[in-house]
Amino acid sequence: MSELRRTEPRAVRLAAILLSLAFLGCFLVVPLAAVFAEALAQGWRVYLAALRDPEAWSAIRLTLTATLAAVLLNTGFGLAAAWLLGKFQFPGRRLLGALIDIPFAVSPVVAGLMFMLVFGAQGWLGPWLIGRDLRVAFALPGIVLATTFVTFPFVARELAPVFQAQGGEQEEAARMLGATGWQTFWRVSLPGAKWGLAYGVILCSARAMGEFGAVSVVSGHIRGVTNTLPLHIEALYNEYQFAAAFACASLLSLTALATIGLKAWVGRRRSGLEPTPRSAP
Amino acid sequence: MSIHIQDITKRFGSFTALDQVSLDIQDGQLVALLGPSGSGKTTLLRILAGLESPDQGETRFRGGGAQGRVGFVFQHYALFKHMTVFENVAFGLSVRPRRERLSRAGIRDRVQELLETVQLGWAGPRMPDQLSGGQRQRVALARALVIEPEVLLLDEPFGALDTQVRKDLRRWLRHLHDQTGITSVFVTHDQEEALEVADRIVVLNKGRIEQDGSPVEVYSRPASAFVYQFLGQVNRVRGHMRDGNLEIGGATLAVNGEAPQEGARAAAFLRPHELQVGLHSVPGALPALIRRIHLAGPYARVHLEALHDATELEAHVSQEEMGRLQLEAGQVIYALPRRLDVFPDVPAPQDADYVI
Repeated sequence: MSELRRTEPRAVRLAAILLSLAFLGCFLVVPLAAVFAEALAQGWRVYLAALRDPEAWSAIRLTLTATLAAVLLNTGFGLAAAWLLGKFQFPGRRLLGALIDIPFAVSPVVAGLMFMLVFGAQGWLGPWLIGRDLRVAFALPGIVLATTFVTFPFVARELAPVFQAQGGEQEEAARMLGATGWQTFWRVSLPGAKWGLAYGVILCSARAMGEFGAVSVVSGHIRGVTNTLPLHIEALYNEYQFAAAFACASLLSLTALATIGLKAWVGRRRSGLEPTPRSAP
Repeated sequence: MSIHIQDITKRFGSFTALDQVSLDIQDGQLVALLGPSGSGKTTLLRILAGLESPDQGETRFRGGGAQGRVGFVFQHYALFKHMTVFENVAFGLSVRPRRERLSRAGIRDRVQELLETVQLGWAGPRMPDQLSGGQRQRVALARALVIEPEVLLLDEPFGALDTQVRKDLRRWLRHLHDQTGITSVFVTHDQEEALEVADRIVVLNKGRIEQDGSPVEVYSRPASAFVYQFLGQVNRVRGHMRDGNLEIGGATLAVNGEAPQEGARAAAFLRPHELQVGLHSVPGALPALIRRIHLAGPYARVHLEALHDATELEAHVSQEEMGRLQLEAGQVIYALPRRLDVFPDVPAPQDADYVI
């Protein structure tokens, strides 16, 4: 019996696999390994000392605070926007969808500058805010704003297609069974999309922790006060403190690896249970 | 609880889904809304459920308790995918305000009782995607029944199921209705389903009611050409009216029904078993050529082509009759209508699927 040829010849497959592996190796694995190697080059003591340094510690705390705030804000906003986009037809729906994508299109540095234009000392609201002793630029609120802006499409973009793919039948069924709108949302729509939400939150946190450009503009680089972890790494690097810089960098890389692991785990849980949308842009 | 529907009109953009439909449904009836897609049947059901609001007209439920609860069963089940079967069925009880809510144990007993009713007592801890289509639809029914509805509405409840499962569930629905006596309305495009299950069939076409009657009435005394063609297999012949008879290609046929004007073009309908096949010409018989013969089945299906205008006809001939006549493809025979219902000539419905 002749067998149908379902795949490319072995040589072609092998070449494609090797090419992908070589590419991944050059651009991902080797640099990542280099980060850890460099971080540990002067031994564990130096590594731990770099992380225990008060400025590093402050940067870690600030990054976590800003990430938590940005994720909370974007979860609230993302749920509302995705709900609107996924479940309703209304005038301006496409416009809303396009607006949500702006942070993907705008360079983070430009985003940072936009906030400076509004909240900076010479900005529109700057003098008014300073007059009331409210610090936004060069302070935590500015960093949270910039991080939130840069990461805000993630939850909305991840959830909207899930809500849309759910259709409206389950909500209608809930309504026919006497559920209020509130009950329907919390007990039917949201649990039906919880893995999509988790996915969005993971992506959002990963991006928030790594954010550099926008935060760099609004933070003012005040050591031990407004330096986030990525900014702290840059500062250390510029001062030739390579071991310390790479130690902090390895910490960020670990969070990235953890994110990938979480993402894969959520992805597996989610498959089959929820309609899986095309991946976000 | 009885349902009163008064002059309901519903448009979607320029499309009129329902055009001044009025209907009264008595307490305890099992009514089928039958029609092709786009006839407005689902829209009417959704308006009854309160899932759509009519542009004009009103619906009223009478004689029920203060709650006027409506159970709704969706074509694609619409089960809550992230909940177990038990949680799905319990949903309608658990969303009630605390004052009216049953105790935990009360809910458990009630849900279990309903799952037993739909023969799924074992399925409580399962997830919906672990069940077959027929089982899911029974869960959906249990879920709708848990709130003790006074009206049960079903939107193509068996439309997504295999033929055999459909047949079982149909009987089961009929049985359930006989037991509970809940006023029920179901939508279907399957005439067989409507004929088998319902007490009463409302045939809808283009947003209007074509006929409303018992299955026997609708099947054997169709009120319009549309109903004739929609319910069951049918032959359609066309001719002119002359002296109250229909003239077709030289043959003069006696007809039933309100005859259209003298000289007008008319279409007459008859079922395949009402067309008698003979080897010799008799008055009122149409000469026709046998195209094909399908012998498989309880009767032979003989496909004919009338000689006068090549109209395609189908006759159902019993196996004994076949043995006696020795019919063969290519032969010319005489087809005698035993009964003809005449309607003013109308263009054939666009939904060719339903024209046999």
